[in-house]
Amino acid sequence: MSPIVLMFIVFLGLLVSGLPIFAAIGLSSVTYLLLAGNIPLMLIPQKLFANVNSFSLLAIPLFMLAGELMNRGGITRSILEFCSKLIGHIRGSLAHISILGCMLFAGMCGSCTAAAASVGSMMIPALRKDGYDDDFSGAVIASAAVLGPVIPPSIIMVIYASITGASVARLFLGGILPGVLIALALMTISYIISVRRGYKAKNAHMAPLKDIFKSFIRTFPALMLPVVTILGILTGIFTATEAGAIAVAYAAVLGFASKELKLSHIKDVLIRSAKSSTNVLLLMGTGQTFGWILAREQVPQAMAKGLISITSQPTLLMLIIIGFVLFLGCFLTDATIVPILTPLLLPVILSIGYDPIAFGVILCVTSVVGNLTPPVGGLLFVVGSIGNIPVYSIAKSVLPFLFAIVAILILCAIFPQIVSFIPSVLMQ
Amino acid sequence: MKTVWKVFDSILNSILALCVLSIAVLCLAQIFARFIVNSSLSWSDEACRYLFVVTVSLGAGVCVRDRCLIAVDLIPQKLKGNARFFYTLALNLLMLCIAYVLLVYGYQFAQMNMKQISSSLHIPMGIVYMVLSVSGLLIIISTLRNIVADIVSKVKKGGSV
Repeated sequence: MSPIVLMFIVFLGLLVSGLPIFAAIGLSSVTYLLLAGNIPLMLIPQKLFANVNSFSLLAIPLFMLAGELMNRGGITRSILEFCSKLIGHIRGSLAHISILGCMLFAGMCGSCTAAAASVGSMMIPALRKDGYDDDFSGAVIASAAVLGPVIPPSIIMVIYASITGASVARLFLGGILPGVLIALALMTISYIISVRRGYKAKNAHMAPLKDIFKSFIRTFPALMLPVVTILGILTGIFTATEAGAIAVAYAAVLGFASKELKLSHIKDVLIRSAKSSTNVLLLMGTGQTFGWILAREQVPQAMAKGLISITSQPTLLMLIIIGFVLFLGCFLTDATIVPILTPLLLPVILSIGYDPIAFGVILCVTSVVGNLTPPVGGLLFVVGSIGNIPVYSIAKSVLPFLFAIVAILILCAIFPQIVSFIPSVLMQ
Repeated sequence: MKTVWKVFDSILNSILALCVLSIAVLCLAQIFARFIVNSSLSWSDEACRYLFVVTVSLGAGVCVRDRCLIAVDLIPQKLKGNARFFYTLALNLLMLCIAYVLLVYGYQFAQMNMKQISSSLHIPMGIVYMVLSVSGLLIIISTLRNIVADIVSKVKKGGSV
């Protein structure tokens, strides 16, 4: 048996066994290196270092930190109040408020679990009090949290950019329109379910314009953060990583100003951000050795040939990729799928002439959607534990929302202009 | 013994928090220097990157300790009693293998690069690479602690090992 085949078998075996994924990738690489001979094992620490030693990936801990600070600083609450004033009169209003709230919060944080945790911990009790069924509330929060990494900033897009060298700004901008479409689709589904299950609106009428305006002013500083970071990155005033630092400072100032954020929170928040970024970076770092081995064995080229022999029709190929990523998403997290698949699929995408930015956005969003599918669905578990809702009941009720998001993704795959429109207008 | 570990853990946690805080502050200082003082810092970029390497390396030990690394843990979740105990033990032994690779080969990698000097901070690259070896050591310590903790809880429950 050739070393590369054995490596794949060891990898799949260890992956399913429940060993932390970074160790599964690492040990299967070790297997190959030992069998192939003449390659020093030093490659593993060397590649790990080379991957972490990157200024652009520093954006990961910084945006995670900013999201945590925003949440502790009571900014989530003021965003949700603003949403409630704005759309509290629509049937099933609390669901719509959760979705819009997630979308606005997503402008400040780049991960889906952060969005689910912050919006969920405030909205699930409110939804329960107003008589919404638990399975529906959980499904709304979990699916709306997908917007976290779709609306910029986005940690998973930073990962994609660091692997491919694509422009982070283009990817970020490309996520905006699909993000808005997904939010609208989720709201439509919630409306239909609310009519069926007889959920009412929170307010009888739309809040007076004066109230909306007042609440807007109060939320304004928080709403401005994404505008500042995006503009800064676009105009080249600062890099995506520095934008992360700006977001951290901004969130800290807002939090301390509102007196909700305490100094005693800071250490905890810092450690949490360090731990979540370690998780991502270890995966990517050992994935580098894995990728090196795949390239040495010319697996990406073989994969490209294989895929193109099925079809060279770009749209059809994208649909196959979406299906494949959704399948992988049942077992792997987004931060695992993107580093493993990107080097394999990018040569195919380039050779058929599909827009790599549109591909990147679609790949990232699809892999995030994988967090909604059991057995390994990060968002289901986060929402389930916050709301004390059985995970399987959320998994069942999330299906209509899941289909809506996949429909939007397919739409984006057929019309990549949906993704590339905003970047092409704003960037030359 | 418990207090020793408590101190050890809290030191690790503090270093971790300090690293992330310094990264954020250094990034801000870099922007400040470039736009307000109008002279770019030459070393902040490199310092941030090395601090991040330290964060991830120490964070690896902490994540193993807190058992919060991403894994597909369907099989261990399903197992009960003795089967689960021995299964987890086997996984921990595999973890020791990858940590051993980091410890030994990270050390060799560091040794080879002691003479190379970093471009702006002027420290030997070997020292920076050594952090990877330390990471392997920390993962080994955390894994051994987890194994001991598993055995202790098993004995307490009255099961025979």
